Amino acid sequence: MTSNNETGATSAKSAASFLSTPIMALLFIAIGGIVVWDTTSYTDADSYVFPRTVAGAMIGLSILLILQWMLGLSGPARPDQVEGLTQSITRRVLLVSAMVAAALAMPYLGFLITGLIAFAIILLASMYDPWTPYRIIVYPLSGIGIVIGFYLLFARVLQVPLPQGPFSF
Amino acid sequence: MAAIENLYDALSPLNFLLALGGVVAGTVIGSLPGLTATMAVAVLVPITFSMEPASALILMGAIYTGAIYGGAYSAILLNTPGTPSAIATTFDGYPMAKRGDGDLAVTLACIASVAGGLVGAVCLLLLAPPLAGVALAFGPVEYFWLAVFGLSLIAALSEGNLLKALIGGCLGLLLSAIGVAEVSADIRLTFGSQVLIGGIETVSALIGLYCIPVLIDLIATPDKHLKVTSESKGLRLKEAMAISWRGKFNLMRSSIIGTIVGILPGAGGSIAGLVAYSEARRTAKNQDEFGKGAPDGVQATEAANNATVGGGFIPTLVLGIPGTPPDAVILGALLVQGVKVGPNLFTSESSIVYTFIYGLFLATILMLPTGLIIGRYAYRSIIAIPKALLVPTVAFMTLIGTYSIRNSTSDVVIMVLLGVIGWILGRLGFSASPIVLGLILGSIAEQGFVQAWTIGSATGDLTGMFFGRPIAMAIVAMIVISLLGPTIVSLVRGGKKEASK
Repeated sequence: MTSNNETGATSAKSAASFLSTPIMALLFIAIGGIVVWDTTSYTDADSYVFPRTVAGAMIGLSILLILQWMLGLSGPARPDQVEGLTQSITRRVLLVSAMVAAALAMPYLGFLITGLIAFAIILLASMYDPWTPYRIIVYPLSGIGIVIGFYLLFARVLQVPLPQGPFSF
Repeated sequence: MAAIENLYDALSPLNFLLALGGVVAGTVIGSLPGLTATMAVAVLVPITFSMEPASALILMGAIYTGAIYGGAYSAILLNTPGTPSAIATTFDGYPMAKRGDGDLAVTLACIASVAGGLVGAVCLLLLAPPLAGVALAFGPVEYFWLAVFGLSLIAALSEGNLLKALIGGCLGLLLSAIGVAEVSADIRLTFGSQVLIGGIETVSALIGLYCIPVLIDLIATPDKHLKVTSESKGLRLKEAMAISWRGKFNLMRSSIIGTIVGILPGAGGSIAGLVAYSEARRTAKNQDEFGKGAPDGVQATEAANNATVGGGFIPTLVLGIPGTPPDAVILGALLVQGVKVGPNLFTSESSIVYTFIYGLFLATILMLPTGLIIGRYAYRSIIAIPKALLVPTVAFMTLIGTYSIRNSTSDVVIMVLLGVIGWILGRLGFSASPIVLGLILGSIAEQGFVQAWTIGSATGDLTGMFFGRPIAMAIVAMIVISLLGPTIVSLVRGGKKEASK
């Protein structure tokens, strides 16, 4: 039963990998079409000649890519492109979500607080080793030191106006 | 006699300390993703107002040259160019680091940067007035072809499927068109979004496309970030010197390319690095190794981008036209000091100019010991820091670095989203480098193309405009050789093998 499931998962992955090229080519054709449509609203020829030409080239190249795939000339996906997709999705999603959330929360909480929270979440997400007493003390303290150090470097030394929150200094 | 006096002035304890401090500060700032050489110089300009003009120039030149070199650290160790000049350093530097040669790559980058910086400074010292004419000989059409030459590198970066690389290049060119058009001020490809009117900021896009995919992969496994050999090999200076000596022609050619591209206003270190990388690859016997950790690739890029420092000062000082963005900041600082740049500067205020040039030599030479020490420390830090701290630290640096470019949270969101898109595209065979090439070269290509088109249409000689100018034709010839050269060489080799059988 397990073997059947594994075989099914592998074949599904192979099918997805096989179909990714034409799907992406169609997506790029759509993007090119949207760009060409957008250029019709420009008032000056100087504005549309470049993006329209590039979009046309992208559509043409995407059609060629589909033809290449249909003729079986596009080659197999590299092993490193296929494997690894099954590795921890949760940690990856946590990383990206924490970074986007930090960017959105910055104007309200200030850079320092959002930086500390984002650092803590990403630290937890990237932790594979067991939490020993040493790590429980040293890792959070290092994180606080790194965030405050960079904050002071940018805000005070380089005079970058980072968003101020309720607890900024 | 005057030359000795100027050299003596340049070596005064104050100027020596300024050169040393400037190189160290520039190297550290340049190594942080998001902080460019322009920003490093701009931040420290106010300090120079109370100094003698020559000392101020030495400090700014030292910061500038240090920042250009510092960009190599994060390019090699994190696959994130610290400055745009180090884009091509990632192509071979990061693969070298991944296979356990990060220390060697950092040392090679340092030697190449010093070599390139010295060649640029020699050209500034001996050939400034005649070379300044090159800047005036470049019109819009030459800039257009130069950008196309940079884009021709896409063929080299195709990683197996040229069509996918070309599509990626087109995507990058379209991304560069987002926002207000530079030539006609139409708002393009924003689809009503206020956030996109300012366009996609190049450095934040670079950080996103190069660094975020690395973080996404890094967090998913417990494996070490870089391969580490069991015993410490130190700086590997002897090995790096031997490689540099073997690649001396590559170093010299790349340095000259960097100097010439530096002279061209607006071109900058990123184009210099890309053009030099392309030439190094074209002329190399081991072309297949490029992109997989070839030391020649790191040397070419780093020599070229540091040579732009001396090259960029040529039009800045002789013509008052800044060769690179940091030169524009330095030019502003000089004007505040009351120094009148122009053709007469080398005669009327020769003591300032020559003291500065000798100071630039000093700063470049000081970059060797300081760069090696800082590079060694950076490498050891990256391999020693546990993954649970490395990933959040790099992620936090990308956040703060991206925000500080335009003080914009939207740029941060765009950076992360571009990173995710880059990761997905990478998984599907569309690598990030062609997208980045398109993004960086898009505005130069478009501006040159539209201006040349307008002039050609007005004069009724469009073909002559694009294909009738000697410099333009020389660049076109280089593009053709760059694109078709490898194919012709392999055909000739194949033919010879057949004949020998």
